Amino acid sequence: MPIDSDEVSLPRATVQKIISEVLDPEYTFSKEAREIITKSGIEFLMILSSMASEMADNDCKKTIAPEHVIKALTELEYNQFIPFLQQRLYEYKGTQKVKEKRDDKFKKSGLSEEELLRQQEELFRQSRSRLNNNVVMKKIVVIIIAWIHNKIHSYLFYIFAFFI
Amino acid sequence: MDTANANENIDAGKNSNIQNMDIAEEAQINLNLKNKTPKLPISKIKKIAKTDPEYMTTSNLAYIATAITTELFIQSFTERTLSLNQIRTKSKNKRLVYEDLAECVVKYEEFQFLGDVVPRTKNLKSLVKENKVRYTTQQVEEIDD
Repeated sequence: MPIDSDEVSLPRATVQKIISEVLDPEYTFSKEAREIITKSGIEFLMILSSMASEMADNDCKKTIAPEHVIKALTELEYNQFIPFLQQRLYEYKGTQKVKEKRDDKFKKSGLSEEELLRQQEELFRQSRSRLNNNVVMKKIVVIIIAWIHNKIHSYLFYIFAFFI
Repeated sequence: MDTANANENIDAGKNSNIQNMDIAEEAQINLNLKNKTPKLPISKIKKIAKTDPEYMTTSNLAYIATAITTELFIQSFTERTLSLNQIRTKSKNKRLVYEDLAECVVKYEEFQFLGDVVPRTKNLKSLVKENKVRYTTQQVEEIDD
């Protein structure tokens, strides 16, 4: 089936991720089947939007709200989705609050984006150099211990210890 | 080592630990945010919704709800097709194909609306036999009853 360049579709990789979340790991879909799943998703989306419009209309509202989407699910006999949808909407609203808080924090600090990036880079650099120092310290300690235990003989042991 | 130096080092260690925690915390928060926002891009969802001639203004949160529900649908379709395949075929083939989806659409009422999107395919020979189509080398034509 030729892909109509006028038609909007959903990104393949994203649909694949969504499928992978529920598909047993040993199973795969053929390429054709994946495309059909995408098309089915789009078809569902349109039917849902259309029904949600109707629900908003019935409510004499000019804008579709989430509650209309939920009512639409009942009309379409997809009630089983409703609790999951509500849970995820709740979680989503939570993330928005976290984002707002975080954005406020940045705004209050009065720092420009460049300054913040510079600070972040500085923190990374510090943590990286600390990590390197720790590793070198550990190697030195190992070599000293090896020397104490083996004194003369094991040159090989020193080399081995260095590379641990 | 000087105790003064030692203390300084401990303090520096503490501060850097706090800074490290901030970075780690930040990363964890970002991961949580990612998991809780819908995967499907809202921009595409908007475009698709607008192809409907009867499109109505929709709030952002309603778009989010639509995205989430569409993801739930895709997963539901996948799961049903998988379980149907596992029940019906005794083959150990772990590859799901078009026919498995078509089968699912036929069997479960909630997917009936996809009848035109995923019709069951039949091969040409059997259709000709059933007198449903006639064909020439140029085209295949459905016979109307």
